Amino acid sequence: MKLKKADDLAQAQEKGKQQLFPATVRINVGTASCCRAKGATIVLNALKYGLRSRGIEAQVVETGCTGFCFMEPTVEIQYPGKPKVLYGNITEADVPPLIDAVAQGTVYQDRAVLCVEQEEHVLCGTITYGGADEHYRALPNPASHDFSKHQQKVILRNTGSINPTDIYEYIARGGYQALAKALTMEPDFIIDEVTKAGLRGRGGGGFPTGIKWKSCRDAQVKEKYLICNVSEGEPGIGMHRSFLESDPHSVLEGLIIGGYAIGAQTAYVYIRDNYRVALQRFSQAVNDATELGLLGNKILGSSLSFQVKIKEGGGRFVCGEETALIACIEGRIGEPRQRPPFPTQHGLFGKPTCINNVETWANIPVIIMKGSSWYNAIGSAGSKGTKVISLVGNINRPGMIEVPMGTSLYDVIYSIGGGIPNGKNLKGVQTGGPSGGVLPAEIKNLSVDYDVLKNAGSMLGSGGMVIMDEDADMVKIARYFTDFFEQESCGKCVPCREGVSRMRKMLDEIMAGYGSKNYLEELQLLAKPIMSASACALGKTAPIPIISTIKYFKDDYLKYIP
Amino acid sequence: MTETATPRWSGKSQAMFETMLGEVPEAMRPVFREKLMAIILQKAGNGEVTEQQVTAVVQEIVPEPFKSTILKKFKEIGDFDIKIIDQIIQRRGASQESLMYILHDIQDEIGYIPVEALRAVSTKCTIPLSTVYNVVTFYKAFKTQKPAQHTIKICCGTACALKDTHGLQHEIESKFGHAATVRLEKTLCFGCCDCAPAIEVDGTVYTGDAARAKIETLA
Repeated sequence: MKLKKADDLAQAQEKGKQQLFPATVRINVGTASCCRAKGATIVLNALKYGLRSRGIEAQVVETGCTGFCFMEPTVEIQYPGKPKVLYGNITEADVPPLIDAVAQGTVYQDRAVLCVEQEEHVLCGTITYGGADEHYRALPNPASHDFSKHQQKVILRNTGSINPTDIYEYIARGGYQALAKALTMEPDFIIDEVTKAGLRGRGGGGFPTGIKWKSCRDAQVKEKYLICNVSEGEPGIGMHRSFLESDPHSVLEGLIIGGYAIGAQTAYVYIRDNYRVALQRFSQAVNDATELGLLGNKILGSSLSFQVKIKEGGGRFVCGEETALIACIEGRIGEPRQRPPFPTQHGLFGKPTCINNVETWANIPVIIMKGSSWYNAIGSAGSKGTKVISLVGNINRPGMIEVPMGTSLYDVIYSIGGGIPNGKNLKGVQTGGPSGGVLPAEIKNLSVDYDVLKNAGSMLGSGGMVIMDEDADMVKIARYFTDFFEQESCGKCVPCREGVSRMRKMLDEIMAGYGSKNYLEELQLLAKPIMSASACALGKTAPIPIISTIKYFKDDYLKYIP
Repeated sequence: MTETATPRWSGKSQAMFETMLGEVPEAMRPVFREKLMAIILQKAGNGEVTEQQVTAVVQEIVPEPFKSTILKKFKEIGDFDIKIIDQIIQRRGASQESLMYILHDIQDEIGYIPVEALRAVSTKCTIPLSTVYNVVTFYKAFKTQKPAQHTIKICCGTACALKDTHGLQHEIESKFGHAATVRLEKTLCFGCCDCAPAIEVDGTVYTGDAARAKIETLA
């Protein structure tokens, strides 16, 4: 099938709906990397084998991550006209009783977690699965389950529900409608909408996306590039990988709209080399979209021509920095360069280039479909929209979550995350990856917001949140991050190369018991030139873990000082 | 480059020939290529060029100290077919932009990036060898050593560090630190933070007890 005009999407939508709501039972098995690590492929194979050997007709589909990472592997079973049931912690031993339940058309209560009668989808309204009968009574639904009731799924609207390698299922859930709508708009109007929506870059800096787009559009050069940054080199973060593995088409749609608005013909998607599954699923998405005519020449009958190239990274943290990323795509070593000129003027191959994070691109279709005023109403004063957060560390319910901006950290940790395991107390929260600081538990009024976290001495970053309990030793943690920066520094400029290694040595001395109180002052003193004289964000943020831990957890340091 | 005829290479002979040429100053390489090729073709007659014939040519006509340098380099040539590299470069295009693709492909095919592959890439793409070497050693994804039978990657991410990878790491290090069949690598987070601590054994991620059980099978 080739989509020649916007109306052809309806046909594809029909086909996708038949797959999403088949006449037989549909079984979704989450097989993102996080699920695979816990044995999802074993469960998948056991299920397929079991169903075949018992002659049960079922549609077994590999989906992405549902976000319920704390109870993976997860399986969803949906009978025609009945609610969808989510099962968690499925092992190989659970497969035979699960198949028994499928054979009888009942619910396997031991592992059932959620019952979804209907779902509020941000793009296509209410999706009804069916009414619950006596089998389903006791089960909570997403609106009453502690983990999901505080979340708002905008970016993660499709994750875990669709087959990420099937473009029709994405289209059936309102996919590529935003592209069709965007193609009827003026490019300048689209950029205005993005600006008015108040979308800020999700990679960490929080730069207003609309202004970046406008600057790139205004550059008087015909050839322009877009880059989607899936470098995600921070330790402790995995949500962009999970997201790309679960819903690659939403990123692709955002890129195509961006290409139309900015006037670019080519997009490069830079994916970290370790992310094999994401790479494979995204390549499949690009191939499928090309086959349907959503990439290539004359997209949906318009004059837009657009292509997407995938670039595999080389496994260096510094390549998440935009100028280093450009160097990497050009086949050079990933050393950042001085800015200005900014990439929007002089970027990839010397041409104007618009670099945005994968989550930023995924926001675009929603803004186009729902309009800037709808989007602008979500969030806090300075930060709009929702944020995908990877909640990990010492917490009862780790997972991939999405909350509106402005949600308090307390809600994220206790209401969604379920608090700290083994009855321990919360000691600190590290936000924004290694470049962010560790914030103490006492600060109650913190929220998921660019400015609030920045004022507290940390940053929102790309949305990683590592929860630390009372046993965590902050000096060890500061040393861990400093060691990380020492290894990942590209070595180009002196303050970062020499300064960070000097800081690590001082921390080693403190930990070995040779430190004195002067060391703490010297560390803070040394941080200043590193932060002001380094060329890129890696050097500028490298001392933050030390500074924030000295500021908030001085007692931990004093324990080591004789 | 003008080549009088294309010989049929057998074994590592082509890699050896390219290594030999690599010792010649770049400006004179085309002339030497033609001359040496003629000699080798003459030696081979109509048959395939063998490894012994290339070695013989070096021993007969190359002066010292180049002779011993080249013969030493011949010993370093790994056990792979240089034609793979030609195919990869043809597929990806011979430019600096494709360099990362080419290197990733070489690593996927051979398992690591041998020195002579670097030379071949440098010559074919006309990128200085120093630049290629710079790129290969800058990015952690590329390996220049032949991999061991098993590779254990230990995640050093925040969540894993917090949830005591170091205990697991210590265990693995004490067990396999000197084992020839296992190669240990410390890598950045591979995104399985929610089930930390995680290790990757031969491309599959294991966590918790499954990780311990898996390393038992390697011991």
